Amino acid sequence: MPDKLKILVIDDEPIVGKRLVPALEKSGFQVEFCNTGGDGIKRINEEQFDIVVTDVRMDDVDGIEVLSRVMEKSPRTKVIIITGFATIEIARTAKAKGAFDFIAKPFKPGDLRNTIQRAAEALAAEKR
Amino acid sequence: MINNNLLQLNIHLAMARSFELQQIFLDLTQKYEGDFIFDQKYIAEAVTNISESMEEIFFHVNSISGGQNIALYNRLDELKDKITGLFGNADLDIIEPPASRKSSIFDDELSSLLNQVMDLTIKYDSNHLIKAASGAKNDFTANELLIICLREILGDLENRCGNKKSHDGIENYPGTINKTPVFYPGLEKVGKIDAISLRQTVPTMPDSEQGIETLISSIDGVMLTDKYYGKSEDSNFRGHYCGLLFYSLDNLTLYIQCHKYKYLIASGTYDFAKGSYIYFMVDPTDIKESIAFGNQLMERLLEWLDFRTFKINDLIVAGIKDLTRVEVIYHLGMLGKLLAFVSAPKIRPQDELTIRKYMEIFLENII
Repeated sequence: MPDKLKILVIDDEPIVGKRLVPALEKSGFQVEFCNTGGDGIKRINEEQFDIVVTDVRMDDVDGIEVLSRVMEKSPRTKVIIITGFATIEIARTAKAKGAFDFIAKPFKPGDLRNTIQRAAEALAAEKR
Repeated sequence: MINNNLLQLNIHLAMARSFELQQIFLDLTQKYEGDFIFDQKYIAEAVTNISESMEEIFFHVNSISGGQNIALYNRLDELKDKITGLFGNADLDIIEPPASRKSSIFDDELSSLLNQVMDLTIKYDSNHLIKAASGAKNDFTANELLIICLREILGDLENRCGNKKSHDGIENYPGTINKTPVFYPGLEKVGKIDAISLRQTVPTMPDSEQGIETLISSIDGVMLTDKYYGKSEDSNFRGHYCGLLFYSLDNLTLYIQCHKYKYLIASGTYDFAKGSYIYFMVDPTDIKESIAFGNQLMERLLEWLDFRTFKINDLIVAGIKDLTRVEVIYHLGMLGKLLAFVSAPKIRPQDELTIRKYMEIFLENII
């Protein structure tokens, strides 16, 4: 049986983690949650995650900065950006910096699961 | 008194904002009922959008009424204070989700906040408005304030028709209908409209051939359907419409009072492709059960015609956007047919079965 995918969720609203973590764990992923960008970067420096799901607007470090740090530390990690302030500008910046995908809030857990599934397939293809 | 161009503009903008407001309410309801991931920012943003839309609607209603509804702003301020209080309350009560809620995953404080915001904005209680009118209550939800605004607009148009008595009952209609043939500038060339009696027809711009085209489309629809379905043994009912019309090169505003309903059509018909819109509002003149089934028939037919339709208690607001000019003319004709059909005394839906029967008649014989 393959290892569970390791996912880090970063959002400054704890309620998002409270909702997302059980929904993703139910789908068979190993999920960790950080509620500041700074804590998220700390965890990225300590450990390698397969997928990072991050909000854009956070008080300390924004999601684009998190994305840059992930790309420096672990280029194979897929970063999925989630934001309630979805603009083409943010989407373009995120894509240019290497984000795997971009999801506007509110969204259904199923939408995120589908994107994670695609990210998992991309990771598997890169391994082959 | 506000001039006709400004009146038309304010009606159109108030209708557009009301339609957008209903879309925000629908979005909030869907988020609450479904298993969506959202945050407090989403709720805060929705509250801001509701507040901004309401302020715009108040502005237009006050422009129409000459500032008679300034108190609405105070009501909105009170409402905003209550909602701000909810956001500031760290110990939100966890409340039981209503039975209508499908989600069983997210019953947490965020759902509770959204639920309380929905209670203050979307909830509608007609008894509440009656109590408010008698001074017993004065706290309104956003949706209740919206109803007050929309009825103010209809009331203003009704007054302009000089037809206020019609509120008292159908019997008053013959006495309040202007039976004098009305001169329609430009329409004598077409010669199609001869039976409908509009109290006031005001071209708001000269040489408005396109306005005439849309006018013909909607009124022809009324006439065609009324010819077959408007007949009644009671001569008081026959083909009696009272209306008010403004039209220009681009815009059409048609208010029609017909039997048991008041209708408002606001249409912007531009020349370029996919830039035009129609907003439609229906308000019954009483709240008998037969009207409820009539409303259901109206809603189904509007949806069949691709209108996005919202029901606010017994008032229906519908809209369709991004149309070409040709599509606008088609839909105006259909709306004319629809309103004449549903208003006709012969058409009396009483249950689901008769609603379906009348839908079939409309779709097979009228269209």
